[in-house]
This record gives sequence, structure tokens and C-alpha cells, in this order.
Amino acid sequence: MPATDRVREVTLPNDTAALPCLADTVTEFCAAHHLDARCSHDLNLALEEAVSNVMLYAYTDHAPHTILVRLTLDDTAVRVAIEDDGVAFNPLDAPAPDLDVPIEQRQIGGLGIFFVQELMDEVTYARRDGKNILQLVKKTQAA
Amino acid sequence: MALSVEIKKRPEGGHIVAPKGRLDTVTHEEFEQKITPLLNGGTPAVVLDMAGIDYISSAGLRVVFKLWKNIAGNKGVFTMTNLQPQIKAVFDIVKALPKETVFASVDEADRYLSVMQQKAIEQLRGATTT
Repeated sequence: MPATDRVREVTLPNDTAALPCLADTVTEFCAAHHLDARCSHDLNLALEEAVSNVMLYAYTDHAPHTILVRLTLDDTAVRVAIEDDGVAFNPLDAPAPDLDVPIEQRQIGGLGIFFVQELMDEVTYARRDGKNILQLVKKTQAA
Repeated sequence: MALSVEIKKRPEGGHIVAPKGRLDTVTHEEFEQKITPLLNGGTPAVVLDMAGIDYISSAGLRVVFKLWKNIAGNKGVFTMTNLQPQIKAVFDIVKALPKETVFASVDEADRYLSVMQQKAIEQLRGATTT
């Protein structure tokens, strides 16, 4: 398989109606590279959480924007980059939810980025050239 | 369709809620609309049958938790059953699988609800005789 197949990019409008397209892209990428169901599920969930956060919170104007998602497979991991030109926002700054409290007493919120951190092996944020860049790493084999 | 929701009344009181498909950013509002009549005393008990749900994200979880909190807050009983493995894994990450809430089947949840309803009746009887 040519090396270029191991990189897949998709550009999405900042509209949650585009999330099914993202899910299809991730699922196809995982299937094409024979990644297991767990890897595919975790990538799909982490990407929905991260990208929906951008769609819902990154923009204060009502103009259309595009969000770039790049998936790269190498010998040890799937690496994901999510780039947007919204307001400077580091999702990792959000406080972790308190899970030691019964559901009846919990604050509802802060779960999205928590899932990203729990499901991915590495999560890093950078702000460069007016863009938010969130990078995720999901290892594909036992280290 | 990404999500359909079936809600059935239990003969002994309460409702069985059976969503099918995905509970995510795109479908969570629809799920919330469907369960709204059950909130704020709309039902004394819920069995959330998750057999038909193959994907849930935080947006879907928020609606489940909203229903859960609301039922509990109105002194009702909330139970959940038939979680597929990947769904159970998601609830596990947020430590939301208490033994007294999650059951292996609708039958088991039903039996638990009957016990709880019997206890509630006995408490009422006890209260009126003192």
C-alpha cells in the first residue's frame, strides 16, 4: 500500500451536521489499515469530543469556518491533528470532572475532554499562527 | 435514522425507555425531547434499556445523567440495563455503573423496581399508622 494512504485529511465546516462525515472518515481509515474495533471506537469517540468542542466553543462570530483533521498512521500509532482558527482555547485547561460523587450529585459537564485524555495515549495542545492545534496519539500495539 | 426512541409504560407503574442507534452530539437533543415528559415527577420509575445503543458520547451521557438525576431527585427509581461492551466501557470511564442501578436484563431491573415499589408502599403504610 503506498505511503500516501497512511495519511488522510478531511476539512469540516464548523457545523455539527458534519460530524457523521468525520465518523465515516475515521471508520474507513481504521478499516483500511486493519486497526481493531477498540482502536476505531476510541478514535471515533475522542474525535467527536474534540471536534464538537471546536464547533460549539471555538468561534464567537457567526461566519463559516473550516476545521482540519489529519489522521496519520505510522509503525506504532495513529496520530491525529485537529486544527482550527477559532479563539485561543486550550481544552486541557478545563478542570477534570469529579467522579467520586454519586451521579445524583454530580455537575454535568467537562466530560468531553476527559474522554479524549482517557482514550488517547498522548494529548497535546499548541497555539501557532493564529490556530489551535490539538494532537492526539493512539498507540496501535503493545509497547 | 441515527436514533429512534421507544417508551413503554410498565403495567406496575413507571416506564421502559429503549433508545436505538447512537446517543451523540447529533442525536442528543432528540433523545432529550423524547424523555422530557418523564421528568419532574412524570414517572416514578425508569428502566433505560440500552440494548439498541451501539455508540454513546458525552453529549448522550449528559442526557442519560439528566434523566437519572431528575428521577432520583423526585424520589423515583432509575435503572439501566443491556449495556453493550463498548457502552459499558464508556460508563466505566466516568465511574457510572453503581450496582444498585445497572442490571443484566430488563427482567432483573423489573424485579428490583417491584422490590423498591413494595418498600415504598410499606413505608407509606408505616407512616400512616404512627
